[in-house]
Amino acid sequence: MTDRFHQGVEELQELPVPDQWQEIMARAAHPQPSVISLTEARRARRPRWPLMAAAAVVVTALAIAGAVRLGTESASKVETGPVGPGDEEPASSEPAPTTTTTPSTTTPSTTPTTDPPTTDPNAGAGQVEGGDESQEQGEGEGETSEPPQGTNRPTSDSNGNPIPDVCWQTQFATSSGPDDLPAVQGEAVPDDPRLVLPSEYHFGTFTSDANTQRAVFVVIGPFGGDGGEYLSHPVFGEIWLAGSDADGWLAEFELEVSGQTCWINLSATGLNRDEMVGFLEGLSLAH
Amino acid sequence: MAERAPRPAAAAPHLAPAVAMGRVGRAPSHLGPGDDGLVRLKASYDRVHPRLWRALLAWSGDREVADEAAAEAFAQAARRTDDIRDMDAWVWRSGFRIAAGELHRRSRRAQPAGLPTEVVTDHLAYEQGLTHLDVPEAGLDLLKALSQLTEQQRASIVLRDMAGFSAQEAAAALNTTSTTVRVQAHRGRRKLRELLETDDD
Repeated sequence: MTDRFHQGVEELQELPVPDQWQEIMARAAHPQPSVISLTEARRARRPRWPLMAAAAVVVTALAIAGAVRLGTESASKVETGPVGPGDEEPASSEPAPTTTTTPSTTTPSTTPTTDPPTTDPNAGAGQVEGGDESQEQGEGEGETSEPPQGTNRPTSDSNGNPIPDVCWQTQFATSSGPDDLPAVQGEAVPDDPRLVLPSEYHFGTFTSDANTQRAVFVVIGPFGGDGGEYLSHPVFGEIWLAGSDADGWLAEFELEVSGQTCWINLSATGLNRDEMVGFLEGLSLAH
Repeated sequence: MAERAPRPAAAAPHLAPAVAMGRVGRAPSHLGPGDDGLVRLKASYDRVHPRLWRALLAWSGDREVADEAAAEAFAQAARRTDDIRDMDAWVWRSGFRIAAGELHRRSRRAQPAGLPTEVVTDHLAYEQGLTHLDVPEAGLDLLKALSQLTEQQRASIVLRDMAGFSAQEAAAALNTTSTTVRVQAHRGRRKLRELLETDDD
């Protein structure tokens, strides 16, 4: 990193830190909503039954309307003829599409349904369960630890940029591996610093972590380090490679597929630099 | 109603610290002097608090958020000392979660019409927080550059490069994977480098 970065870090490290011990003890003894204005406090204490009652009325009304509409459509179907009761599609005079090669683009909602209760101090003291391992972050790019499968992949990254479908469909081939790479080792040994983990390819933007594809070679040990280098590549032009023999490698490059720009990254450890560069040099499109 | 004590200069007007309620120094009812839980908590406080507070400050860009999240994380740990095996890790995780909640709450409050993305609003909240800080020039430049990153990139860099965490430790604190931390840290560093070099020009 630059000197300016380190200088900034040093200055931040020298900032005086408030002694909060007394306040912590007081908070612990008397849990209370920790960051809250009077207006918000009143809002929080306001009874919610009127809102719930109103919501119940709306839901009921919608249910009735839906039932009436379904009944009407049902009658209409019967009248128009050939659609059986088990058919899902309504009868139509338009011909059905003959072939479809495009995979489904079903998109999960990108809008969080609820705020993670664990992250909102307004929820009141005592409700933040930082030690609960089962809680997920729920927002942002931290959601990448549980890869959705199939068509549940995200269609946009955290900045709202679309991830073209072609990025997900792109397949790669390697001429220098994976057969030439270290064989997959046996089961991981806990506490072994060379803990064996599967390597990962990430396609698309970073949120494409959600569509991680497992490679067949292994990664060993933690990844770290800084810096990086740019490698000239016969197919992909330029690949940014960072890491070290001990810490592992991260490679990133952009790829244009069918006029769409895909951002690709892959990480691996357990390889020395020559092996990693050799792997990257042999990487090409499979089609 | 107890008379409110003077507030620390850096505290926000809307905060209501417990010190104002005349409860300074009282341990939770289940924690007495010499209690093992309290001893563990204090030891963790001495080890973690300065680094946690600074990390939260760098991550959120807001002293109020850092104050609130650090204090609340330890306060909540104090209420459940018997249930927490790794106090340090628990406090780190809680501190960042609480700070994230507060930052998002401010983002929603500050969100202007027509700016739908979370990144933009987070950036706004971060920049608003910077106005409260009294930090030397290079530190402020770094915070401004950090404000251009995503939350995950910022958190990964703060924990890896400022708090000295390994990727695994940072991942545990952020409740994510070490791969995520590595990649986000690298991407963030690259962007930071560009931003800080641009500032130099």
